[in-house]
Amino acid sequence: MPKLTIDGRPIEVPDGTRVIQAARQLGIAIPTMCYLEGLEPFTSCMICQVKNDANGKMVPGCSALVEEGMKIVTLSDEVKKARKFTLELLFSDHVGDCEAPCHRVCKSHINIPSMIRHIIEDDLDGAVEVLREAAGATNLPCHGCEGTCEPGCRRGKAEAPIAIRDLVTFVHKYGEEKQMFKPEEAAGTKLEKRFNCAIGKLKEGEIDLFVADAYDPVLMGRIEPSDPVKGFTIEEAKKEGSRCMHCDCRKAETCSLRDYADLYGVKQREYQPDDRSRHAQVRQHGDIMYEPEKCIKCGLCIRITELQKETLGLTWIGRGFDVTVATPFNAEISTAVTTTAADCVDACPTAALSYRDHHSEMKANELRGRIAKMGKAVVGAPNIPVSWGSTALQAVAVQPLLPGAKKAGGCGNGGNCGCGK
Amino acid sequence: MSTTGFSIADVDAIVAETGKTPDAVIPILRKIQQKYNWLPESALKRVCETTEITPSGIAGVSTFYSKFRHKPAGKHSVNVCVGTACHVKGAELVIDGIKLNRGIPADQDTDAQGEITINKVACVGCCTLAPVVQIDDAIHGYLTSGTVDRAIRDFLARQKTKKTGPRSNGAPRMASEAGVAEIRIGQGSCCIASGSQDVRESLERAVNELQADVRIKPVGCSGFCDQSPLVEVVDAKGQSSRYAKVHPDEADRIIKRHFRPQGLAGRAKSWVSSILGSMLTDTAWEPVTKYSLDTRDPRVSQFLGPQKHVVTEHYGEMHPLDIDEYIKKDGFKALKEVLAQNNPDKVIQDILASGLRGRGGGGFPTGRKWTLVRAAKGSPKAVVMNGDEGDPGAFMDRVVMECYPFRVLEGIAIGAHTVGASKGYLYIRAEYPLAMERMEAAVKIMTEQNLLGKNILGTGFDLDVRVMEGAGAFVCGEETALLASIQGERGMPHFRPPYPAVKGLWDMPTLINNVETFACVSWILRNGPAAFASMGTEKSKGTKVFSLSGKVKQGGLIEVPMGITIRQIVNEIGGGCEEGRTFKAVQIGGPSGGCIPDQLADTPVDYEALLKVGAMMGSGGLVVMDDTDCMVNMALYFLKFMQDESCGKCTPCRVGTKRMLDIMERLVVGKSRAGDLQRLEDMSGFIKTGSLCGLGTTAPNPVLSTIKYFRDEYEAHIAGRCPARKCTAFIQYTINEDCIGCTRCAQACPTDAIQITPYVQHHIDLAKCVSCDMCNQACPVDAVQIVAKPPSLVKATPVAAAK
Repeated sequence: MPKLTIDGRPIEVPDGTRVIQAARQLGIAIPTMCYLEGLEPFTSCMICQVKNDANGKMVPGCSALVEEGMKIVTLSDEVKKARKFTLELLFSDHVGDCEAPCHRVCKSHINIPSMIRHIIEDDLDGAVEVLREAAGATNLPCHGCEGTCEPGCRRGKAEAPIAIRDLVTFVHKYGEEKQMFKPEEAAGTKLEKRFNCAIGKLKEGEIDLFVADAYDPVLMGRIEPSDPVKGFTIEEAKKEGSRCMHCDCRKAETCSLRDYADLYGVKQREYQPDDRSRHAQVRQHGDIMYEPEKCIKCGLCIRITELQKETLGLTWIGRGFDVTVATPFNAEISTAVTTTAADCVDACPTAALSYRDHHSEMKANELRGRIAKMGKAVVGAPNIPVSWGSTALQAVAVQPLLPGAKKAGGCGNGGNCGCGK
Repeated sequence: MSTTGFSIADVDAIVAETGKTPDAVIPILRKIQQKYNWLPESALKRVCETTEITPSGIAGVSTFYSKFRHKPAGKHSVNVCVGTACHVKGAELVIDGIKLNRGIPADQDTDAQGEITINKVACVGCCTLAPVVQIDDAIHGYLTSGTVDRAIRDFLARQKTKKTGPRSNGAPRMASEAGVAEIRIGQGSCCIASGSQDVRESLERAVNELQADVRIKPVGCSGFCDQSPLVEVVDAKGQSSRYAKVHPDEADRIIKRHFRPQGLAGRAKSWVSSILGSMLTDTAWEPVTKYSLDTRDPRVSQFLGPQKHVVTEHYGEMHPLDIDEYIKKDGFKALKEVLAQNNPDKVIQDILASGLRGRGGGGFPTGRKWTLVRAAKGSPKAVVMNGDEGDPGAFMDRVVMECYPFRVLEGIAIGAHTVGASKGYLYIRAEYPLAMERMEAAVKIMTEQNLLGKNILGTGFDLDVRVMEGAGAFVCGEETALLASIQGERGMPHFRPPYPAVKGLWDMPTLINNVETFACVSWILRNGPAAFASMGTEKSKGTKVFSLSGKVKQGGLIEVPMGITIRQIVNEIGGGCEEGRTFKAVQIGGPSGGCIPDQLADTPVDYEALLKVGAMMGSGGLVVMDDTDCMVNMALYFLKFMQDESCGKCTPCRVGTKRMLDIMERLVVGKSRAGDLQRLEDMSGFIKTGSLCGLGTTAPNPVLSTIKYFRDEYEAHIAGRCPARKCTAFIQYTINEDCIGCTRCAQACPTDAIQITPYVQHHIDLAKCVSCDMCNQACPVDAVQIVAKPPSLVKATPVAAAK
């Protein structure tokens, strides 16, 4: 049993234990995005770098085996800098918005794309929840706002912006009618200033590709309420909502990359390449969405599909900087990822794999619950983000979570919908 | 070829002869590609249906290795070597030349007729013939952007008239015997590339005609690679004469110079034909003696002088596959003794005492590695030869495998016996077909003689050896990636420990050594560890084989005692730079290494001393650069190589090298941003400490070492100048008044930037000029000049266009 110290605290663990596991036993969380308890380490993301003071070398905590006499430092300026560097590299190759432009400019900070998805999924209660989360009050959140949201709408760059205000009014009216707003609720929760990855100004040609990615790309032209006084009917609202391009990130609240960006004070544009790949959403699958430009190449999904013996599964295509995660032989992702869809989405540390919509997510939650009950869960605890304590540079303890117990979101959707809860 | 439809029967036959387990995937892919010239998807799907190989497995592996193509290729492949030596001698211009001449758009690789497909390949290891192009299997050397198209056209024309027979394996025709004259002709890739096969055939014809009492013997590399094809005539008394750069037409005269025809009739016939010969060609004897080399020749004695031959013992005089000759020269003596004594601890002691360290680059003490594998628990154990020499500018291991296969295998067998391994794997990179062939042949011969296989020499020791071909991935030189590749996976490294010595190939304890390391073993055991340790420095013992190329007069394969200085190698062995040029730096250790500038050239060849100056021993490529070489361009070249070869697993290497490359690419086009140099240095530090394997941790070295020693050149580029006038963004071509109006430049220009104006000074239309250098090469009077581009023009060029 090798004896070592981690951040000065002695520990003795069996041979073959990884540094990250030993640290967890001490309640010290070493950050990682590519390591999943239960799978062999892959040593890819490299934000788990820690320093072994015994030999002065930086080692990946997820893979390094404990050795007699190690003096592991999990958090020092040097370690932090190395992690920040690594994260900034990842962001130089990460194309996507944490929050949609409309969401970011909305004075009430309503997650508009999420609200719209609820509308088009026939889940108006869910849409009201999104409003309540942001605005809380019974008043129409747009009251007194001159309408900053619509100029922010990316679709407006190609043709006309989505009729956001009419949609919010529609949802609010529905909530009022169903008396879903509680007068005692405080108006507006305090906004948390968070790291925001942003695509920024679109380059020539990119906007057309964006429109092509909308749920209904052929639906051109803005729909106005036929009765300006009564506002949108449900059909009209759904039709107008289908024009939304869903620029938002579905996992904005659960994305490890974003959490670590916050934690390490990352600058998104530290490295500015002359060219960037275009943002794309692959929605061939009924339940999951693949956004290749958000992938950090941790390979978790590939390993999961392999381990659980998907017939096709996912694989690496190419190598080096151009390597991508894709299906073999260009198969549709729906035929390649079948039984493992929920596991892959949960394991994915970013929103490269996410649930397509709220329905898929709820379906997955139920399915996951069943699997857990049957005791057949193969994949271990998901990685959960850590934060620093205020007094010491000590990360909070990590309790291994069961599948499905992931950071439950207020909306009941496991926090993956990006609804902000 | 490319149009051939795929047939299930073909694929099934390939699977049947190769195997159905996941580790068969690379050989299967290779054979499918041999069949169709590319990998049709339907063929890959068929493989998945009939084997244990999964769709995700085959898709991942086939897209990892650069040898595999996923779209149809032209009938012939034109592989342009972009190794270091070729790079410094203008390989990129050669590619431009082919594309311009054959009308291939910049972003494509196949011509409209489907005749040829251009591939860039990472060093074919014929650096002394640089720039080199491999057309199908044949290597053509000394090409320029102006001459390459001619070579391709000749090749295509030959294909139409000539049926190519199988390449002669160089099987031994007759063993050498004392008292019989011999003609030795080199059979290394360099010699073959410069036409030694044709010379050999001519020699044989001449000998038969003359009925001379002489044996023609194909031999291994003599080291004079840039003098190839080399013919050495040894008469019955043992007197030797060497002829360099021999042309097939000259064979006849060489023979006649040394040997008298048999019988009167023969003499008369010979007399008549030689009179005819001298009448028809007024050059008479002159060409024969022109390249006659002699050890008394100062160039030869200088080249050979400081060398010591351990790995290359009996260089240039043995047939590579003549096992009897090898045995006669003390071959297998060490192995037989090791087996007879059966005392592995003693062997390890000897290897430790010799001070032998890994020759692949890292320099880990070989004896200690052997001790670790011997002590590791687990059975069976494996021994792996790392023949994935991928450093551009390095070809030592290629030559050693091509010319001394038995010596390497003897070392492997001794290593296997010592550590207790019964399975052997030889991993050889795909670009070395001849090395592959020779090693396979040598394994077969040794197995027949019971020197490999079951119950070797009746001692109960088993060693089955398999040869594995790489498929084009530099990272597979890293030992954990190499093992993954043998297992039929993508060549992605994993974190060590566990080291392969404990958990290697299929979790077996595995001994991995480099080709050259194994080749040292038998010499050490035969001559005693003290003899080996008597050469070299305190911590670096014995000899080191280097491939010397670039801007030296005499390049080639050399073996020197450790401790010799870089300057001695460049000036004494290499004969210094060409007249009028000054030595600037030498790149040692390939893309993982660094450059050693003139002022530090007295650094000895020693693992630690080289590290101290920011370079490394590496596998042994030495590329010499002179004042016409741009160091920023060199650093960019190496970084680009590493970035291309990154496996993509860990973030610092995958993204970090790419972002460094972005900066370097901006630098060479005059678009650098404030703080770029500092940023390069900072990024280098993080990439070195944060990368998973040796590729990433060494990738920034060339940039770091050039910034360290040639910071002024970086600053010049930032200011918009390239002092060496190499970076095309900073230069332009012009024709001065020396122009005689011969129109050759205009004829050579592929973009019509020069109007044909006979007898009048020509002019270059800069708007059309692509800086391909063809006019410069064509000009007979040096009227084409390269001048600095005005800074305003450099600034005006958009980044994308400049790149």
